[in-house]
Amino acid sequence: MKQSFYLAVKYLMFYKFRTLVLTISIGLILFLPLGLEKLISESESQMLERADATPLVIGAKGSSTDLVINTLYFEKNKIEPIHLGLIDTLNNMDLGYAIPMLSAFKARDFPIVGTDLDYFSFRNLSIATGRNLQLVGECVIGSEVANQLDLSVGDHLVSSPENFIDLAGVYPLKMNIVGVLGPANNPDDYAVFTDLKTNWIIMGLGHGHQDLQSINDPSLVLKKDSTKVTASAKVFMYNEINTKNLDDFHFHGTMSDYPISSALFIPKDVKSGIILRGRFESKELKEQIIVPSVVVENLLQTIFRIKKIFDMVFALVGLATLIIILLIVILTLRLRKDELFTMFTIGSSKYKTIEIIGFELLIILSLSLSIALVFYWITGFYIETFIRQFII
Amino acid sequence: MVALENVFFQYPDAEFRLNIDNLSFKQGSKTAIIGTSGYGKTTMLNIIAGIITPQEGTVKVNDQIINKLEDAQRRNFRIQRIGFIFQDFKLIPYLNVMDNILLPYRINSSISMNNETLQSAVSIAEELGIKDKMKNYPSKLSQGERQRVAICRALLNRPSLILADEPTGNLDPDNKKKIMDILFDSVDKFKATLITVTHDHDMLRGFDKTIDFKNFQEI
Repeated sequence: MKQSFYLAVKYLMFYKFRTLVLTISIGLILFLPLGLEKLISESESQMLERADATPLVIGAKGSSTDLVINTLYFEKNKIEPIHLGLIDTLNNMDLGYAIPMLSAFKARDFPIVGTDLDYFSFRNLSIATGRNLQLVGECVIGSEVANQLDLSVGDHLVSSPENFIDLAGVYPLKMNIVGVLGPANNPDDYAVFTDLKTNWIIMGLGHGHQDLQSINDPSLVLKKDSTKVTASAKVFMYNEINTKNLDDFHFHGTMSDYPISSALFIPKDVKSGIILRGRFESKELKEQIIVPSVVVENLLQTIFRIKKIFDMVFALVGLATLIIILLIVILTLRLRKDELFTMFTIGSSKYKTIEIIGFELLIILSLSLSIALVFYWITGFYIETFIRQFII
Repeated sequence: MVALENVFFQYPDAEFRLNIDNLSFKQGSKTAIIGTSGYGKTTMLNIIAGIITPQEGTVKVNDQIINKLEDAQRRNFRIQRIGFIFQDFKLIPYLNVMDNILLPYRINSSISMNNETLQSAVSIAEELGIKDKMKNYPSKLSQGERQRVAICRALLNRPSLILADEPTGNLDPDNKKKIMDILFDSVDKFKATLITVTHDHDMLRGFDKTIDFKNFQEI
């Protein structure tokens, strides 16, 4: 046995390239179904875990899937906004408490999430370094944002402009990082949290500029009467909020009409949740209320149906691979006819020949399996990216 | 002593028939067998080596009737007592010179490899002038060097019978003479019997006996 193994190793080492190609090919074919299974099951557990931890989501009528994905995973889907006033309405019902969510912008590809401090305690998010949000223009970043962008407390993060060509569009805001969250192993790690007002400033609903009353420059003013001052385009708009210009920032209009993407609702008890759902279903409130776990399970059912197709494809690919391996073995034996006959002539038995070739196959399969397991292990590190890019 | 008596062999589905009434080779003798292709010279070597068994007759090697042995016994007998040398060397391309020489010890457990075997391999390789090539692969060797490796492999188990099938067929004249000298020296040293099949009449010098395979007559 030891000698057969030695000869098998010598054969495979001599034909390194052939061995490598065969090993990697089989390894990948073994890995694909294993990897997909892991991705799907991990995605399922992660998605369900977050959905199960979120009792109710309230938003404008439309796609319930888009609403849940925007609210839970901060993906920038086109959902209709609701008004901040709804939060007060919900809180006044005394059935639980509502948390406003506004997720419409990004900073260097990470979502900017406007919310209030209740969100952090609801999700059990702890500040690893720095402090929590206190002032407008501040942000607290998730652990992965900090890692991937190499940011820490005291650094700045600029919101990504929506459209460089649209001059009247959303302008970038330089936000001060005041805190970094500890890792939570969920989408919160990949988010930039701000208060709602900071988000509204990015939206253009609030702004800060030079004080037109104190600066004596007629070119800054287009029109002025006792109630209203109309500024010219020359007036300097602040793109950063700090202690010096904080008081120059202001919002126009009624705050309760300001937009938010959705609201999380945490009912006092099961009964309160049912009562609230009833109020939405009876059209007392015109928005929709959703149990996220139901929506996520429906989404996963679709994924499972796709997975079944993949399983069939992999089974066929596996069968084709087996046939190809068989063909390779047959062709190799034909090529090695002289070599095997030499061994037989010298004094080898057919059993010995089978043993040597068996070891060769065993080594190739073991190496392939090792490659598949290494890929499988590496897959674990990319589950989050996979969920974000392919599932949500 | 090698003796073939009333041997008849025919390959399945082939017209070729080999009939040998009586043919013997004395222990320690050096015999050349000549004759045109197709008369069954190689077949006879394979019968003596026990690679194929005749349908009739007896084949004795050192008083052992080879064709009456079981497959495994024939294999063990072959690997322990017989050294085989081929025209095309039949070296294993993915093994270096050392591993090619030791091949018989790796493919049959009836002979075991130890330090003495390794020393013996090096010693024979030194005698044949290929000691410095031990780590080379066959593709990096000249034709003459390849045949020396094949001879090393055949001699390592100190066989009492050496069967050589056109051992100089692929060599240039200079190498032919060198290889035959090596072969004769080794046979004398091990007191082995040498049966060589050849087409090359220039190589017949040095043999004790030459047999024309067409009529089994000694020339």
